[in-house]
Amino acid sequence: MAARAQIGFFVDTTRCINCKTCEIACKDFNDSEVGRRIRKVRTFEGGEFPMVFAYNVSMSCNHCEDPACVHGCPAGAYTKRATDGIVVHDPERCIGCRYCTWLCPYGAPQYDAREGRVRKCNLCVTEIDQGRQPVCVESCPMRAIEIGPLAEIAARPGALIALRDLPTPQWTKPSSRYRVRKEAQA
Amino acid sequence: MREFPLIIFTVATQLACGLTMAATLFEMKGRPADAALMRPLGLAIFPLLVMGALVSMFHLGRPLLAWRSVVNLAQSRLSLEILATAVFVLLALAYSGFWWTGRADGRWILGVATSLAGLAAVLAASLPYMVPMQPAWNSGWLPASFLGTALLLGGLAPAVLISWKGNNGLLRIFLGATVAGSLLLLLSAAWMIVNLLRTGDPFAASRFGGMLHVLLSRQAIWLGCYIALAGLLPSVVAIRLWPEEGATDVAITPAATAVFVVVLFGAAAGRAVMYWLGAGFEPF
Repeated sequence: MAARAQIGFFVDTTRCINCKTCEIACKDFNDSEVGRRIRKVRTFEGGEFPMVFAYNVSMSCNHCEDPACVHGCPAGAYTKRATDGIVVHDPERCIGCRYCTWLCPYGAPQYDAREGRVRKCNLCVTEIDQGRQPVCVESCPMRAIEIGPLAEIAARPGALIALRDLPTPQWTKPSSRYRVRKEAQA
Repeated sequence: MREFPLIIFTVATQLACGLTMAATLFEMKGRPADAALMRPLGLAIFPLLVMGALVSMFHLGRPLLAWRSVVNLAQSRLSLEILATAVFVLLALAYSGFWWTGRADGRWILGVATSLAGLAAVLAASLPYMVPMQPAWNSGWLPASFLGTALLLGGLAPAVLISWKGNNGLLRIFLGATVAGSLLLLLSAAWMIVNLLRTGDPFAASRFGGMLHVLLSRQAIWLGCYIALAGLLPSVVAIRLWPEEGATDVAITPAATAVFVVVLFGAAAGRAVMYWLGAGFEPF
């Protein structure tokens, strides 16, 4: 299922200040109701006093190279674009069985009880197809979120696929890379 | 609980599978004159499946699009489950139809085919849950509990819902199946808890700690119902009903019917615990 030129997110967590502007921009663009966060900034804490640490990870759909949602959806509501590897969810085909919410290790598909179907990050394909950036990338005041060809972002210094508190990337091969402090490394 | 329709669907499918196996065994091992005794249970198979399938629609956010659930047969385990269940329902329609019309020739052959389709549907129903992203489900205890429920209910239903007249050998087979099914459920419950003690995978271990705590505190009453009513009670009932040599009639009683309802509730409680273990937890 490899795309010709897989696109992915590069998130520099060392820049993230947990302002959640990316979340709000995403909610606004996708008209999400209260409680549904297609992009979510999670804060992880750890260590023992006095060596404690905290870091923030802004995450939405990782547009995985081997996406469990695409394989598992019984209704064929998910497709992975051959050109750029973006995993697109078509709400019109969704039957609201929520199986994808069980399959995704990152909690990207989220059920919308109001509409009776799942919604997830489509990487703002309508924006990308017109040569613009996704709204989370556009809105981040710290420039902590970028998108680019996976081959390019994966080669950046410090780019990691596995973080300390995230599920193993072996299951779905996420197309996101993170720059993190030493404490967050797996 | 959002998964309530799925509890009814899976338990109804497993009960229907058990009844099909019981009715087929009844025909192959029982006396032809006794076939009328099994008729109500043979008739119940198809309506049970239809009821389960209809209730399962309430799980969907958009039930009118349920037909789309078989679109991704090439990849989706859920599509495979729906297809296997549909095959079982179609064969059950014919099988219950045979009981309805009283047609006996070839019924046992159709019974064997429907039983195999039922077992395939029960096993296929466990496949969508066995994925690495759901470590609490991704273990052999889950198909064991599905098969155990089919065996338990399929053995218990004819044993307590039919008035037996001297066919002690067959009654012993059904009571034996009841005990085997309940032991399989006890084994799967123990397996489920041992599975939560695994620590090899850090992601799984981080979730299992919380699950085990809640399972043994807030969910303890449902786990207790499952173990007591579906794991222990059926064996006690089987021992009480075990026919002595030379005994003749065993009449159906309201108490026996109540036992079946209580065991059914226990099986549903166990299924509720299963859904809570997986769907009740955030991915991370």
